[in-house]
Amino acid sequence: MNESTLDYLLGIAETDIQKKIIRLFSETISSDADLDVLLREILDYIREVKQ
Amino acid sequence: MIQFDYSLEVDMGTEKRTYNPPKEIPKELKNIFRIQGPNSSGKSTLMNIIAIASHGLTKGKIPPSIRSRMEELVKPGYKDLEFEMTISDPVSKRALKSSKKKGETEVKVRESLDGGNSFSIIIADNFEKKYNLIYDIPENPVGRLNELTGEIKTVQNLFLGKTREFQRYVEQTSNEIGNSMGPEEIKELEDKLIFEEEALKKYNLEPEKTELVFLKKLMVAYKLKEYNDKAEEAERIFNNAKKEIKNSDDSKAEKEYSKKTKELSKKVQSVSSSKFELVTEANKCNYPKFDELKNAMDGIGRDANAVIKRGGIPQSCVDAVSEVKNFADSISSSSKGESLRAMLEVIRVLDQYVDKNIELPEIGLLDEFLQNFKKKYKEMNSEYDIKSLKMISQKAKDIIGWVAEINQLVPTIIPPPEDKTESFEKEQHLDDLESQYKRANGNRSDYVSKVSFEMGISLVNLDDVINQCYSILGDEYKEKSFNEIKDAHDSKNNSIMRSESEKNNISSRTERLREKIIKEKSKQASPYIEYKNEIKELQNQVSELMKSMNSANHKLEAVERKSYGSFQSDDPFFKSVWSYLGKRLKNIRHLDKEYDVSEVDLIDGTIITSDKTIIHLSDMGTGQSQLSYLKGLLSADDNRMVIALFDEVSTMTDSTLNVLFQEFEKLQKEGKLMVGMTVSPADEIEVNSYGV
Repeated sequence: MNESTLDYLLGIAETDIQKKIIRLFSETISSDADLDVLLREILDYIREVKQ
Repeated sequence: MIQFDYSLEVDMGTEKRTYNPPKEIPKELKNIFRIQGPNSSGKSTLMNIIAIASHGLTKGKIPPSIRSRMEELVKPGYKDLEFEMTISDPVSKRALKSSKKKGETEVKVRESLDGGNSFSIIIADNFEKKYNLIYDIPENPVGRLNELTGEIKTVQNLFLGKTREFQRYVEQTSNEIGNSMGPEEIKELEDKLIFEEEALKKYNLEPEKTELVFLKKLMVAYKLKEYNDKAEEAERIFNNAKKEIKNSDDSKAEKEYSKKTKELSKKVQSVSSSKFELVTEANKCNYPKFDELKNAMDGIGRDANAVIKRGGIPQSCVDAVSEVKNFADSISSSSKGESLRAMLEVIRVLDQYVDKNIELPEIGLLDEFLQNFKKKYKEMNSEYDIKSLKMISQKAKDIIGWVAEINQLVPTIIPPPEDKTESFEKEQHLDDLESQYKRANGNRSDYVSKVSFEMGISLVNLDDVINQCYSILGDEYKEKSFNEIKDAHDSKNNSIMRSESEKNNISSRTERLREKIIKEKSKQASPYIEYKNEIKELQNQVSELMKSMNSANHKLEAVERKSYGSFQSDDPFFKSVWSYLGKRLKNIRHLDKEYDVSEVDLIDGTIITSDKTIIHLSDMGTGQSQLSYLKGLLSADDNRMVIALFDEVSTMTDSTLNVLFQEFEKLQKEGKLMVGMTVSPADEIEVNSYGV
């Protein structure tokens, strides 16, 4: 994904968790990503942030 | 390297023309090139074929007007195109080989990833994921800068869809593990399940159901027996009534009357036939009181009814018959009569010897003698026929005897009483009894065919069934009436229904418990069971992100309308859009200077450069605007290889165009450009190549 487009989308996100979601989506936008893998990664991130 | 050849046949109605690549355009070109030439020189045709060869009919950023021109070349119609084209990128070593045959609409596109050694078919969807086909005529470039926002809207919607899908997945995971039970609670459920399953085992209703079946059978058997008894009783009553009527006094009298009448009739008949012969023979014998005899005979009566009516045969008739008998007997017993009898006897004897030519002594020939003797007999018999006299005597004797019997019989013939009302009532009663019998019989048949037969009960096995029921239900049922059995049946049925209802309730509870235990255990098995709090947080975050994206979509619509509308102009969102557009343009040439672009404010119509210079879009030259717009299109960097086809770049000067070709060359070096081509009008065809 174009960096400028990603920057724009990240601008929409209001929290770090939302930005993380967008980043993960941008890495898998052109493929049928495994939602389970995405979920696990975001949950780990949230746990890390909350600690 | 681009290698190509084509043949375009155009049907003009009166003639067909075939167009091939003009000789001024080499059939092998570099990947970056510029063609200038006069109108209808084939430069746009080549550009169209490159687009068609790159799945441009269905994919790529292509304005509808251009796509329509491309379709004309492929769809069946007045144009028929055949081409072959190979595009090889010297940097990435990728190659595309496309072809189309005449008369066919299919365009075959193959891809090679090893420098053109081996090719395989690449479908349009996969092609779009790998290649970014841009085919444009940059008219009104400043106005069309707005289209660049369309790209972020597309990406944004893509993210919105992805986020929605992810949100559903998170919700589903949350539901799976939400409100999950602890191991102790699950154990409690399992204990409860065992208890309920044990309770269920106690509900063995089979013996009660068997009892119910036999109660029902006994009821039906009793009912059938009742119908049978009624039918048999009705039949018995009917038959007895029939017999009684047959044997009643009236019936006897009638029978007697009928018998005597028949006897009388027979005797009267005998008299009638004899009296006729008597009268006839009397006439032959010239009976002097013939008329009296005849009248007396007529008074006898023709049939039995007439005789009964007259109370018998009158004595005068008997007297007349006696008188004619005396007449015949007296003549028969006289000497003349004796002679005639003797002569007749002689004739009878001699008749046996006629035609035997017998000659008797003193007599001569027998035949002759007999003939004369018969003649003499006839003469003597002419007054009284001896045969008739005998007949008269015999017939008269018979008649006298029959008349005596008739006159004795007639007083004993008493007609039966003629009470028709009573007879009618008896018949009516018999009819009623017959109807009752038939009805009872019909009821019995109906019950067998409609009820009992289905339960295996018929008149043949009725007693066996009843005994079988007694043996199952107990001997006490022998004393019970139908109503008592029915009460027992209904009571048993209600009891079974209650038990079944309770059993079903327990069964449902058991099933629910089982499902809940499985569900709870599966929650325990979920890898996210330990992330309950994080999932809750994620649900909130995804929900907020969805709201922000939807809001961003509305704000983008405001940008397209070039009006903030209800939104604040200092909303950070707008600044992020302006920055995005600035990054897409990167730099611009205005007047005699190059600027790095920081922001493009489409609502105010300004470009803000990195040194804070404000350039109004309306002040920019058309060529500069075109360049800015095309550079914006090219900078949609998403790792796909670009196939850039720009037509009619006529307002750009050579120096402005050079900036574009520098951009092409830069992309090529990065391995991101498959084709970079521009077309502009000129009086002569000229091809300039750039890059590797």
